[in-house]
Amino acid sequence: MLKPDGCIIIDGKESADTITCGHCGNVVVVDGDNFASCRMCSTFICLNCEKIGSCTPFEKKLQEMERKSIRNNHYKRLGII
Amino acid sequence: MGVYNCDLGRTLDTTNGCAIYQPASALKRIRIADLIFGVTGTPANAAVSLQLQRSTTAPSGGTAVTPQPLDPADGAASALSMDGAVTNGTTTANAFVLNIGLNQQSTFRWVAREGKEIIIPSTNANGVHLLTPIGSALACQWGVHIEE
Repeated sequence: MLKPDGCIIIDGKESADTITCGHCGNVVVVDGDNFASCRMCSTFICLNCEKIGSCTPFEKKLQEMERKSIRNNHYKRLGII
Repeated sequence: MGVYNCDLGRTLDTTNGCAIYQPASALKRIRIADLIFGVTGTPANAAVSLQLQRSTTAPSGGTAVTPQPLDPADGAASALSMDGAVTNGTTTANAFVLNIGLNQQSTFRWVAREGKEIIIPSTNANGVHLLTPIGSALACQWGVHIEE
């Protein structure tokens, strides 16, 4: 693989390349064509995310999670939840 | 951004594991950039499975391990880690960020390119559990480099 997102080293020897899915953040060990690339966000993605067929970058999901957390903490302080 | 080492050891357990997770406040994104695993007991020619699974609550019952800065000039990490958890936190079903099977006699290392790390969102108690769902009761060691 030309520019992998990571690599696996077993007993000191580089054994496999990995990609970090740009849509879900999971690490996939590259084995032939078990990954895809997203033309929208130009990242490697896993086959599960490819099946979904739309582009939601992982960064956007993280921001959404963090926004929800901030909102919930605020509501907790106010005693709403 | 500081780099910290979480030195986590435990006896292989098919249910409970180690964890790196967010505290209740003063949250920062945690990035797992480098992961090393090895069996420190007497390994057999047998399988061990490694799984990193996302979680939404903190584990309990284990020993809290303070992540150590690689650069002593860095301040303390906000991230928390625990080895030998007696009870895992709430793990997210099927959210395995890394899932590998290997021989107990091998030393495993995963290194991420900059910007391609495993990210733990800055959300209360969210984290990643380091699990070994297949493996006999041998001592093992995880070395995890995190950035925050």
